[in-house]
Amino acid sequence: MLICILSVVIIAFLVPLLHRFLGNKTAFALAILPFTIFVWLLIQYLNNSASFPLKELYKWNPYFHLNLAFYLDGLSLLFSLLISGIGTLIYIYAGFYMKNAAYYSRFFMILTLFMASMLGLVLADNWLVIIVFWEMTSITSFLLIGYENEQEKARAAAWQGLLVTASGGLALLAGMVLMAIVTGEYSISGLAQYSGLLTEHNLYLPILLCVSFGAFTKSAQVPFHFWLPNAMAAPTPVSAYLHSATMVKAGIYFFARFSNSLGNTIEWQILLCTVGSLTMVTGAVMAFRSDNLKKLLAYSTISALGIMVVTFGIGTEAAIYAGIAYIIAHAFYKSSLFMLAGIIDKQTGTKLLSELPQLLYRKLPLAFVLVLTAAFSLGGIAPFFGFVGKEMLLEMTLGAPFYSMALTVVILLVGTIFVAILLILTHKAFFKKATDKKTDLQQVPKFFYLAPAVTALAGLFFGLFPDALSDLISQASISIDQELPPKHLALWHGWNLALLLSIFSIIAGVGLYYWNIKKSYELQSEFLKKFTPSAIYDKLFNGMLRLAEWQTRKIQTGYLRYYAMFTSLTILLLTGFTFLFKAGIRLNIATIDIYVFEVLLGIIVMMALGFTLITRSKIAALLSLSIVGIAISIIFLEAGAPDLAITFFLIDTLTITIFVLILHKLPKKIIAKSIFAKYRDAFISLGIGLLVTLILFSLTYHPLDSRLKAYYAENSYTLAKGKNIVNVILVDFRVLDTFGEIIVLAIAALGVFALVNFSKKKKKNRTL
Amino acid sequence: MKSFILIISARVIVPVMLIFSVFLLFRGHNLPGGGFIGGLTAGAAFVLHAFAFGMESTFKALRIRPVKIIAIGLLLSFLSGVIGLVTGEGLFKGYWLDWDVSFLPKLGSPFLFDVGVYVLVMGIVMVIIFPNIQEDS
Repeated sequence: MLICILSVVIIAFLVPLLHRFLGNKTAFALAILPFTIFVWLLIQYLNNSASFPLKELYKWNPYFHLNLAFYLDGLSLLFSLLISGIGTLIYIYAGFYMKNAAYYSRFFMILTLFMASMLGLVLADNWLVIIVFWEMTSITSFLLIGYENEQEKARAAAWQGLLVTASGGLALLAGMVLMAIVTGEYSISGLAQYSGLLTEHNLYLPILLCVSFGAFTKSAQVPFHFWLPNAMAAPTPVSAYLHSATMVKAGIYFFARFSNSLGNTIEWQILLCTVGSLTMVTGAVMAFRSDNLKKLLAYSTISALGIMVVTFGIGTEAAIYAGIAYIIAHAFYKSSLFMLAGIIDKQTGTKLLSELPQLLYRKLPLAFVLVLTAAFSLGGIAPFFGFVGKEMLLEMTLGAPFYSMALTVVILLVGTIFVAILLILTHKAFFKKATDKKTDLQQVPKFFYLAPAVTALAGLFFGLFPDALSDLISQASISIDQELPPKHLALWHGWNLALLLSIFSIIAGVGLYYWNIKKSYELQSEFLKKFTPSAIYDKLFNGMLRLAEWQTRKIQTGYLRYYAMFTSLTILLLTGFTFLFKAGIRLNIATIDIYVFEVLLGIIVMMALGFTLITRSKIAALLSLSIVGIAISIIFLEAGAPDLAITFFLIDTLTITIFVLILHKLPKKIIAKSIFAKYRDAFISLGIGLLVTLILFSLTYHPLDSRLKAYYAENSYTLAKGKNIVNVILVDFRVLDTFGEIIVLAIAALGVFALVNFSKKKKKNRTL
Repeated sequence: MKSFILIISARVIVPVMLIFSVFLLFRGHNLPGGGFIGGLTAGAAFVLHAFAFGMESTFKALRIRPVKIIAIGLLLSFLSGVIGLVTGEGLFKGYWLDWDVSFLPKLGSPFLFDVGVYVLVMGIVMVIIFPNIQEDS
């Protein structure tokens, strides 16, 4: 499994090279990669499914519980089959769609990386590794959504997607950390045995909220759904992939994964069922009102995701089967519809339903047939696989242990709207009578239709022979709950309540479509618009930018004295607070010995400082300040630290040199300060001085632990062959520290270099 | 503005300072001194040279840009650490030569590290101070 993911990552970075040799055929060559993985997974499934779960473990950093652990059971098999299978078709489709695109190789490189991170996400077992892959999907999808980077809309959508899903990632991280605190378990597969401990624990609610917050953002649940329709700014192959098999399904995957460790509690059921129901209704209504073909599909995805969340919220046997069947059904019809929408867009030049040319079914018969096939699955009409899924959903809600009535009504409502959407996609789009625009159709190659045809026909095939998927669905369900009996799917369940309700929803859907056909679909209320989650997001985003701008203007004034002031003030407040309230002052007068010599030095320093403050000449202030430096080096010398004394003396000399050099660029006289500024600066300076003094006293309150000193003294010559302990510590015992320090020095010098070169560009080239 | 006194004294003081800085570097292993102090002294020597003779002549004397001096110093220090990495004993493992010269310190990878520090600090002093010297001649 590691080899699978690694090979995808490596090939991703080879894409630009491949593109140089293969040109526009690169995509078809790349399609071999997910197809190989698909076949490998199928072989694992057919030969080894008895020995599931397959585990792989590579130790990375066991001390931090960080292991590259991978895990293939029914659930991850199902998701990785979808990712690689639909991925193969997406590559073929994108090969046509992205032909001659400006950033062809960049696009496929990121797409491949995205696929690798999705595969990693569903196959990984260690949650630290999962978080890494989770963030990788966020970042790569950011790049994919913002692919058309010269369009502001695409950039904004990419930002939105990244911020929403990455904040969810943070919440997920917090939830995972809490779970690790409670259980001490770092592998997802091992969590199920702690189910009782987790659900009884005080931290259960925070864990549940954090984990579901993460999964909600990823799978675009209300109120975080708004990023998904905006993500339509991405090229169509990406939308098709994001919606059908990846990204949004990652959130669903998490609910499926965690339902055996966190699930089956009242909190879980209420949270998931409420959010899921809200999402499916919102998504369905918004889809119904959309005029843009891609937006319509995006909102219907949101609705479908809501359905899946509800299934895992209910969590009964029927619900788990229904959820997994619906994931498959949705993957087939949604990828196919998206790809077809892209083809229609390419041929007619519009995504808007109202601008499509009249009687399109005559002009694009193949597209029409395929849309019909996929849309029937969406609407849940027999004999398509969507129908099987919908029947299972109705059985689930009818048998639900709680709110059975309400959930059934919601599912029926959404089913009704889905039927209306089916009619919009087929009747409204293809049978329009009159239009005021004349559009010439672009020709596209016939094989463009290959990928959507495969998924659309798969929906029909598995609708006719649903039993072919029984084993896969059972395998996936067993990995959620081991006690589930194998399930056999069938198209025909006999005359039962579910079927009657299904027929009712079809009739109601047709009615809804014809009743609403002449209405316009604008969101009317201006007042409501202000409170959509999307508007709130915009407000927060802009507010944050304004805050950043304000505080930059206040703090980054460009005057050195203010920088110094803010830095000192920050130190004073933060260090002072920590010191006073966490450590406390410890003062022992008795241990302080004072010699006459030190008193004399102190008097000299005080006099020099006083003169510095009083004098109005800068050079005089500077020279008297240097007295302080020299006095300090004398103290070091007296305390038995000659190395330190020499260093301090040299640094002081060089600092004074620099000051003298830049002094004549400054005004000669010291600018008089206002009284307020004088008091403020005096307060800050005295505060810093007092703080440092108190800290030093408190530090020396207890005699310093001298074991290290003794160690260095003993081993300096024998181990490091040097008699100067200070130097030996610097270049041998603690050499890594010194190395880090000299790197910092070098970087600081480079900063000075860059700054000087920047400001002196107009002068002749300096050979620094 | 070139001061005659400065020029004459710099002719004597600059070489002495440079030699003294190397002396500090060598001495550092057993007595107060070391790469950092030596580097500061050497840098100060070149700064004095620039004061006295002008920066153009200092650059001519150096033949190499101070930024590159920093890079070389960092590289030398890094190489002293890599030795241990190559032998598999770990980064910055100390190695010494069995070869003693009376006026040299014990030669080995820590000394190489110290030489790197010396070169790097020397370059840093120049990079920070030279831009501030105004050429009014």
